[in-house]
Amino acid sequence: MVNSMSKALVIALSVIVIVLVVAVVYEASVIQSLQSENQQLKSMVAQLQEQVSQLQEELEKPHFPLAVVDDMGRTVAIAKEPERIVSLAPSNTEILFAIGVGDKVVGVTQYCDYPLEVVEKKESGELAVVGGFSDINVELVVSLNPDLVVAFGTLQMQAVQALEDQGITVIVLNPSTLDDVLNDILLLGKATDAYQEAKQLVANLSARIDAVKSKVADAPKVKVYYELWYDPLMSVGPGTFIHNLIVAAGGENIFADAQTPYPVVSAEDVIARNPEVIILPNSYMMYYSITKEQVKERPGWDAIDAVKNDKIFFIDENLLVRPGPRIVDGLEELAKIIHPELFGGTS
Amino acid sequence: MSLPPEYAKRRRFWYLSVASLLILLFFISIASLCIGPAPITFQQALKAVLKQIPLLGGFLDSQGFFSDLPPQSETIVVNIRIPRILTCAFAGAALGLAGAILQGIFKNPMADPYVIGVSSGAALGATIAFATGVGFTIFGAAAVPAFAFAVSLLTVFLVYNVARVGPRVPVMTLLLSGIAVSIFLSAFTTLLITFASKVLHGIYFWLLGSFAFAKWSDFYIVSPLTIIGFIIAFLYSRDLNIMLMGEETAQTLGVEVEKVKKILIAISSLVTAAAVSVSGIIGFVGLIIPHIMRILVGPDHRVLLPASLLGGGLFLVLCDNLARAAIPPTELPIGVITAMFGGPFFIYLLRKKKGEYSL
Repeated sequence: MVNSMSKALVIALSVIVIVLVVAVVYEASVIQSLQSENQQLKSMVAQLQEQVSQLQEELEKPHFPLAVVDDMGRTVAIAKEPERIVSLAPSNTEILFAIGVGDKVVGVTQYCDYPLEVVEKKESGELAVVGGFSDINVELVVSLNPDLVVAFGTLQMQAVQALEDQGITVIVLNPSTLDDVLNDILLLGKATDAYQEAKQLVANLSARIDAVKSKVADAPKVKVYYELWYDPLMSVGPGTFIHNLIVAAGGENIFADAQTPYPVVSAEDVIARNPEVIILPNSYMMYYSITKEQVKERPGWDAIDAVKNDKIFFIDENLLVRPGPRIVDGLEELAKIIHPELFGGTS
Repeated sequence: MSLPPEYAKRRRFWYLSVASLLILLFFISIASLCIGPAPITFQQALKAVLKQIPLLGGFLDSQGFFSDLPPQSETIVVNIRIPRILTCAFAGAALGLAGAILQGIFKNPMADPYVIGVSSGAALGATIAFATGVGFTIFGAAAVPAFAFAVSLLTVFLVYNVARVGPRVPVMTLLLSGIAVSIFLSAFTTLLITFASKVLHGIYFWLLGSFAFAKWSDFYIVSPLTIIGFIIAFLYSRDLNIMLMGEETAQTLGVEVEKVKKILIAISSLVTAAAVSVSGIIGFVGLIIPHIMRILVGPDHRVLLPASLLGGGLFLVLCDNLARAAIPPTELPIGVITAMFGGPFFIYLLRKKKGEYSL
């Protein structure tokens, strides 16, 4: 009896164990198949995502022929990927080289001197010089047989018309703010089949601009006098790049109320407005041998805070007046000068 | 009626002078086609021109005659250099003609095409176009000359009416009113420039004068006005000769002095305004060319007017060649060249004549 009882117990236990084992094995296999299914789904999703991003890239990628709207509001048709580009301004040249299409540039102006490659190619004759700024030599541009000319601003409209009369494609850039510069980089990226490079450059530049802006956001505004020229004294008014950069770098332009972009100002007005920082262009030292000491010794200027505290700085004005990628370098330089305590810069 | 032999001889000299100036202008213009910053040979230039001739060009093209002509060279010759040279020749001709007429009317060797306010008016007009921004729109290329032309004619109208005394316009008053109005308008131009410092560069280069952007449309403005102006002025060249003896004498000899003056002033203003509106203010040509021609062909307006016309064109075409080819890619301001080369040449001629010279 006991024997049969224990037998039955053993059998029952065995059955239970077997059932349990079977159940566990089954469950394990179900879990495994679910897992593999999950894996599959995941990889499918990843594939789809990749496809979507490829499609997106494809969509954003310029397909020639294409049409772009330039800064003068003109719709410009570009028949094929430009292979021979002529730049009519230093800033345009800097943008083209920064987005990696510098090897397609065949003509520049006599003022284009950055990056160094441009200077070297000009000297070796690889790059033709087609004029100054407002005196573009149309004949020379035509002789280069360009398929895209990048002009700048309102002063070149006569040359632009003359070039378009000869059937040459011309994009005119005319930025007046930092955002405009970023848009122009994207515009040229589209027009020259370098959109990805342009997007990357813009992302990088915007991050740097935001970094400066967020650092100076809560800092007290510093009164800045920027001197454009010394005889007569000229400064900058609202609407100019230099003014906008001073403001973005946490400064306050003492001539923000000027009626004209580049006002002629009087020395006594500078003294009365008492700037905390005076910024002078590098060309003062380089071409006119004007020193900081000479500025300090101007009659009556010893009453200015900037003079008292020795807050007179020189800056490479090309970083401030050329609306290309290096304008962000200019912004950072200005921020260091205006807020050395935030940027650990030269004080 | 046969002329006395000395008259016939003089006539022959006149025909010869005008014909040689015309031939010289023609050949210099052709030669100018291969002068410029873009390297183009004389052969290429000639081929580019030949290709444009309707039937002959097509025939030669089918024979492969133009196979070695690069398309850019053709564009440069046909669409840039030819309109530029033609516009330049006609603008110079207009200034030379206007200078000769006005020196005659004013009996004053200092008179030039700008003496009655055309240049200051044109400068104001162009500055308004630049300062208001009209000059920078896509119509800009047309707006600046249009403003310059309109304001310069308005200015002459103003100068003329300031000087008018009843039905008469004494030349002395005209001269003075021209100077006064010019100075007044120049002040306005300067004021506008002060407020529009951003466009200073554009205005500055326009005021210096240049043919760098000359187009066919410029040629179509300046050439008909110059030709018609010359024909009408030439019809009055005999009256102009008589008027040199004094207006009263001319009146008694049957010349309708006031009418002739009015017509000639209108013509010289129109042709000058046309020239200035397409090229900017180019000094010296209108002052010096009539004097040079007077030394070369004599003071009779029947030969002086055509000679100044052709001489002005010739001189300005030569100067423009230097402007575009001297130091490429920079264009020299053409006014600098007219003064630099015209001045010494004029002084040389003046010294050679040693005081025998008069109007």
